Amino acid sequence: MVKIYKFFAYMLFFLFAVILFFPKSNLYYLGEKELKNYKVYISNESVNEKLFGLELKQASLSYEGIEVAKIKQADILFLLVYGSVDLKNIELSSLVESYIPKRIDSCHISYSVIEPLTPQAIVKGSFGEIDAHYNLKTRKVYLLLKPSKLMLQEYRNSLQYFKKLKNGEYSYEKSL
Amino acid sequence: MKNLSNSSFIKIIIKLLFLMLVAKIIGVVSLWFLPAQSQELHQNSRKTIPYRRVDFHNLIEGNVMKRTARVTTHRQSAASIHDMILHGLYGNSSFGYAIVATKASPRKTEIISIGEKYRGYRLKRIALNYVVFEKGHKEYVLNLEKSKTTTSMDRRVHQIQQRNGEDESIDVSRNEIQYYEKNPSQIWHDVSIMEIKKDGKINGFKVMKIRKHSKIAALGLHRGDIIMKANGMPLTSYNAAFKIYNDINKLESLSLLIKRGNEEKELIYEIH
Repeated sequence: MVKIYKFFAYMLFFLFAVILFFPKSNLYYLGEKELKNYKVYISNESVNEKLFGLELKQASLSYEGIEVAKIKQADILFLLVYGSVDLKNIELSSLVESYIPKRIDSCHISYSVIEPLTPQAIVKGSFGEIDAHYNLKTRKVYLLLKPSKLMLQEYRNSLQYFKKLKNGEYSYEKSL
Repeated sequence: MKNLSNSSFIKIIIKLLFLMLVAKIIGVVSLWFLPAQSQELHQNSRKTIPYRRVDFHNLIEGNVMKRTARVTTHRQSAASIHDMILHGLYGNSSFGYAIVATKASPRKTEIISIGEKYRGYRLKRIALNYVVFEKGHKEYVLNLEKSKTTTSMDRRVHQIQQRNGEDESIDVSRNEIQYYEKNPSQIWHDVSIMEIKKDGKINGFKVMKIRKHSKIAALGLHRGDIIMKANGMPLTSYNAAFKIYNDINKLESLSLLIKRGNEEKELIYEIH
């Protein structure tokens, strides 16, 4: 039994050592390369490696050559059993201003080995709060929106794409 | 000392160091397989949008400079058309005539009607203050000559009803554009567009809804119109559409090729 504990302890140490010594910025560049296939670009960002992750600053997110958002700070955490991306101070392009308020305060995207097929995201901004998850198996995205007063008053048109729930929240479901 | 070197503590340390070394080697080896550079978006610093019409607003306003015939074509200009002068015109896109001469003999004028040839160029159509010739499947625009004494408008025999012809030229105030810039949500309140796909690719944008009496409705777009090109650029992606949107404030003129029913139509906007 002690041998099994020892084995797992060494294994855990080894995995942490791999994460520690792994070139995380290069791994991030690989992710960027994959995103390029979907015409998504992250540009002008400064990349700083941390012990178990990365820190990005002043990133500009573009889709099909159109800048859709500016992200002031992003913290990416690489752990084998858990990973997360924390985005702070996001300003959406004026192109989407007619659909939702431009300002997004934070976006927390995470996955864990407990639910490896459903990465989740919590987005908070002047539009309210969105709780989202994506099912990799069914390829469906689910959104649950708790709209703010601003969203309800000035962006009511955008809510027509959502289904209103009894508790005042809005849900959206789409196969990708 | 002997006890220390044999202790299990040292063994553990050595094992951990070995694991760290292996982890480091994995990290170094992975560098060979991972990209070393970030993927940056290289925007072609906005190609100048090809605009193949004559800016006749300036032509009308400036009444001193005598202009020689200027050829504007999106393909290739023919040398000989530079030698031609357009003295006057009458008609519209499908009917009318033009009074033309050569620079060598400006007083020796000829009147040609649509469909007739002059020095190898067939007169294709007549607009407000220019005519379009055709030669070898290429179009050549010949502007109305300006003189010190008369304006081009004076010498137009008859003011054609622009909005009935194929080309519509509509004056747009820059203030109106700025109004939509300041109130972007108003755009989608006034108009709703949707991409049209052909073989899985975007092939223009259809006007699904347009609010009556709105500023956008005044631009001549109708519900059901499919916008195919803007300033000669095919709208085959949202990128192309948004680039026009982003640059609209810098443009002095804009042409939209639309499909209305089975007809293709060009809407021309002069932005002042």
